[in-house]
Amino acid sequence: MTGLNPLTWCAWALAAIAAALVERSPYLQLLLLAILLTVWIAARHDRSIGYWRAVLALGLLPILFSLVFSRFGTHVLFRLPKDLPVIGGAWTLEAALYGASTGAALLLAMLVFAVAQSTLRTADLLAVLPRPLYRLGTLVALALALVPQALASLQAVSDTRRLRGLRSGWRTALGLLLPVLLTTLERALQYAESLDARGFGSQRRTRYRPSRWGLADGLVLLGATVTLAATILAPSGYDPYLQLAPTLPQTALIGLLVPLSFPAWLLAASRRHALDHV
Amino acid sequence: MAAVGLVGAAAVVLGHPAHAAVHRAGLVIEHASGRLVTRCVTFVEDHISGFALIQRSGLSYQAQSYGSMGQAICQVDGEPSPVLANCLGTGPYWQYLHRAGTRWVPSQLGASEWILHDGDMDGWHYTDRAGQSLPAFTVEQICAPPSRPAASTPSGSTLQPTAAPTSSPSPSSSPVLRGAVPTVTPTPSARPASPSSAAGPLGVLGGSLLVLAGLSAWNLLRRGP
Repeated sequence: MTGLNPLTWCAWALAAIAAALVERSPYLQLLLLAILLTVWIAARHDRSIGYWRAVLALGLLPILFSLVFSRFGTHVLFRLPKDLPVIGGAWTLEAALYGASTGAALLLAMLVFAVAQSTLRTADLLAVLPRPLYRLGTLVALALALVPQALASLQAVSDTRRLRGLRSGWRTALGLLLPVLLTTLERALQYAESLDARGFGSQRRTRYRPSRWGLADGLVLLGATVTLAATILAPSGYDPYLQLAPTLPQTALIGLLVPLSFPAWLLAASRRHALDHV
Repeated sequence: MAAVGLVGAAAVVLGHPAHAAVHRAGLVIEHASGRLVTRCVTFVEDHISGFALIQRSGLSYQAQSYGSMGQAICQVDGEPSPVLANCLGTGPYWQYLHRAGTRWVPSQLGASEWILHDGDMDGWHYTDRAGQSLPAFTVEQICAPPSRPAASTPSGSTLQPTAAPTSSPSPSSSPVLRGAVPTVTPTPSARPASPSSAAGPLGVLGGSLLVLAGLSAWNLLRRGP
């Protein structure tokens, strides 16, 4: 139990994503990485980032792009013959660093999503939606939940066919698709029935466990606001094309990023509190 | 790993040559009115960008970053005033030229990408007509040789290269130009002696990282891996 209001986590994630995408000083990116890891460790629920390969690729891709397509800069790594299309010319360290800076920003943003994913449940998010959006939101969430299930049933049907000795290829796609479609339709009907049984949409929505606001929420919101304001008003820049070695950010800017780590402190404190009272 | 990266970065920042020869580059600016302004810029690095030349010349300027494309020069020495809404506008603009031998050639690169070495010269001309040139100058003319400005650059503080004041053929250029130095200064000395200023941003950063690592370790130990 994370103890913080879902909306608080949303505000925190907003501030964190803004900082991740705007702050380009490598020093601040390092600090942000440490903050996000600390919060993630404090809030995780035995969930790991299962898609870390995709995340890593997302971080490395900008380096490749920048290296291949940018011909600016003075620190030449190596040269390819000029007559080669696109890749010909001087490959520079500046281009690699610029790509790395962009990739780091993307990685940090993904890390914010990972933290938000481990702290926010879909049901909590749906519960805080305003009333006009609630039904639509529930439908979207259900539809999105059907996608991985459809993929899983596709895999299951394909496995079953293979066990029976049938070869699977694109010719057999129709034979695969039909059972998957039927399974998905069946599941959708079950969802509809269960929603009906719970009285979905019959009257005003009630809450079994209403979300509360506490002192911790106020502190985290304050920290998120401070960081967001600092990020927007005084963003730190880093342009390797202008100057290869990054300059140190101002001390105040470092200090204003630290409030993003408030959730980690509060979670640690609340856990100790809980342990003391066992 | 973080600590290694930090130390590496610090080494890059602090590893600038402390004792290096002083190089000179010239800057010629022609306003739309025809008014000429020249500046001599000294630098300790092997080379600087055309943008750094403007920054260190002490002239007022406005630039707009275009990301990896570099900087666009919107305003130099108060022209145009005010700065155009989208920086470049549609009328006259600051044309960028390089001195090659005895003539001026239009630049194929932006100011952030162009590299000047010792003795090079850049020119800027505010006009809307293509193919404009500038009056002939040599760096020696701009950087008046008798008053060697190199002596004014003390060896101890060469991390902060100064734009040396020089006389110039144009009476309008003021001799006072110091500042607008965008280079690396490891510790900003603007703060008075407070406990944290001794450590500087690196100290604050390192301290924050240590505290965060400690919290994470505590959390991991409490709960088990």
